[in-house]
Amino acid sequence: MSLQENWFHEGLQRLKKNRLALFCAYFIGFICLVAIFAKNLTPYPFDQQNIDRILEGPSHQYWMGTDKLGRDLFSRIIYGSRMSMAVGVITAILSLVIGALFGAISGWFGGWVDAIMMRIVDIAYSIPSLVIMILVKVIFDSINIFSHPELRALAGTLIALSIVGWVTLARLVRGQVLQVKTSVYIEAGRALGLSQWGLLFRHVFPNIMGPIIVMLTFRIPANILFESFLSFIGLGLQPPYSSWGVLASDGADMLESYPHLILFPGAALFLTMMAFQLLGDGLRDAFDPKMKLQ
Amino acid sequence: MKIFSVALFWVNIIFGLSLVFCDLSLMYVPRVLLWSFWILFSGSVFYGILRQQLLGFFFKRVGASIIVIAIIASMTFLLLRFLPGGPFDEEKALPPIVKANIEKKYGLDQPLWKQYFNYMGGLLRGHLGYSYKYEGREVSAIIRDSFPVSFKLGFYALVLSFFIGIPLGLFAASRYGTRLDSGAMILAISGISLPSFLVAPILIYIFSFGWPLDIFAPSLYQWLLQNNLLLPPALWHSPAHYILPVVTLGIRPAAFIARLTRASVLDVIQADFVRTARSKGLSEKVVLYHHVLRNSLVPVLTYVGPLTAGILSGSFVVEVIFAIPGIAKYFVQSVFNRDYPLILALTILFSIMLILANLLVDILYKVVDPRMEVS
Repeated sequence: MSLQENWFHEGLQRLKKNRLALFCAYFIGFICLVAIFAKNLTPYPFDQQNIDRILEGPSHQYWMGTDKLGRDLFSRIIYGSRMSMAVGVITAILSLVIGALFGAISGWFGGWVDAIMMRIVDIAYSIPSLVIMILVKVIFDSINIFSHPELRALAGTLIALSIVGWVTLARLVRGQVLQVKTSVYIEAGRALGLSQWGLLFRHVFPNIMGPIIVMLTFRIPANILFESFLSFIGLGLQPPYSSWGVLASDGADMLESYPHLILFPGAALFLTMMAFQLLGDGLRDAFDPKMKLQ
Repeated sequence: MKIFSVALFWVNIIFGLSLVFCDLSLMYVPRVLLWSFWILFSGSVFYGILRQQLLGFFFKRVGASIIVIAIIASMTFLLLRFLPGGPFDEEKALPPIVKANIEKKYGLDQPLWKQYFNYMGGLLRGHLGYSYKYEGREVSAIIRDSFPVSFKLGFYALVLSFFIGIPLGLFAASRYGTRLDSGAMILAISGISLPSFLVAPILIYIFSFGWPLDIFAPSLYQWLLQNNLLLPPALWHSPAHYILPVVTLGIRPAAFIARLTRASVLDVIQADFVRTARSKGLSEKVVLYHHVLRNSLVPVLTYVGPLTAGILSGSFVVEVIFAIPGIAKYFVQSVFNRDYPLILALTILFSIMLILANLLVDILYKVVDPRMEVS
């Protein structure tokens, strides 16, 4: 175990030297805090309409102006961070759980299990993701699985993105497991009489955490982007909830007359995606110098 | 076997060349470019098949792909039936008899398994069925009208992303650790972080509306206007219309390729054979272009598969923004209309594109690096 702590410690030291990545980590932490406490931070309720003051530019009262229903854009962006981050993180974790289990079982057990599971991955890889995302989103939006209103608005998007996202992770994890499988400490564990599953979860997974974490960091912005794609084609979150993607694509229609409507959500989206990319780069350099750019 | 592939190779080259001359005679430059790339690409693929005796592999993969497509078609067929509502549920409900008649016309009154076998049988004979929504139109006709536009858009974006991405990555890697390197990489990262629905309005604002020239340099703006130098903000009539959509679609993949190329070049530059080449006294330029670049292109090739997928979904947004009469608009519409045959046909079409891209990449691997084991 001390070897692993050492590895983690060394990686952390390397990460701390990378100021840019560290700054991005703090920035993401800040956004996460904003997302968690969004309800307490907004100056106005995010869905409060003020019909007398529609489409106003930034002012003292409304810091980022108002939208076409007179809702405060600043509050909506703060609340949008909650939705966008929820989509990014939850989807990344969901697809990680599916993908990692699938890939690990496939790589670890090998033989015909591997052959069948890899055929499934091949098929999933050839499915055009956008079509499936649209179909799954429409299907799951019509079924209300959750009673919590925010989760209900998110459910379709979450499931649609996870169904598409697990495939790349499964491939990555399988490749990593195949590498680790032949190492001496696994053989030692086997000689000591550990069970297959015990080996897999106690010894294989901890050793491939590096690439998985890096991959996860890159998946989150990709998911946020996909969510904004879905919003753009009219399959966003169910109203009145909105994410940055929904806000930006709403604003894109009125760019010429009301540029603030796309400027602020677009900037929020852009900065967050950039922070995740830079942090991912930093993590990769720190924890897994040999890993190829994905 | 061998004669067959030799014949294929030459037929392909001659076919491509004849198209080039055809278009050259009409002075149609973009198409000449397109066909030239086609010759280069498919020529090298067939060359690879010839040299490496990959014909068996090729046919095996094609066979497997047909099975995969059949599975995907069946899955989508089933998934469609989970969509709430049917194709002929309208806001103003049809009289039951009318509805029953329409459903009978399209075979929707039959049991599901019968519908399934009808559809798959039609697929085998090349029938994609009739659209439910666009009355009297065959699905294949819809695809024939709109797909070439989308294909062109995607193809140009693909080419553009390689032409920007590889030089940029090489440039950054050759100046590793300098300000130029970090500048190029920050450019690439911003390219990745910008969603296309943000890029497109910015590009339109600058290149179609002439911002900020219209405010700060009105005379220059007038000159641009009079000489028709501002780019059209939408539609797909002439090559001038292609520029903004292709750039919008190409930016993200270009940024990805730049990062990939840089990482790969930095990897290869440490190899022993590069040191040997340098110690032989070869100039840095020769080492970089001859020894390093060729060897670092393999990981970049790996990316062509995901790249195609990305461009397929990215083209969707771009087509909507620029009002391009491509296939993308049918995607969402057909799902909302519950236009089953159209959704199925689009799914199958795009799976074929993905599978083809992956197959070509595997063959190109062999061409670039004959040591590569093709599975």
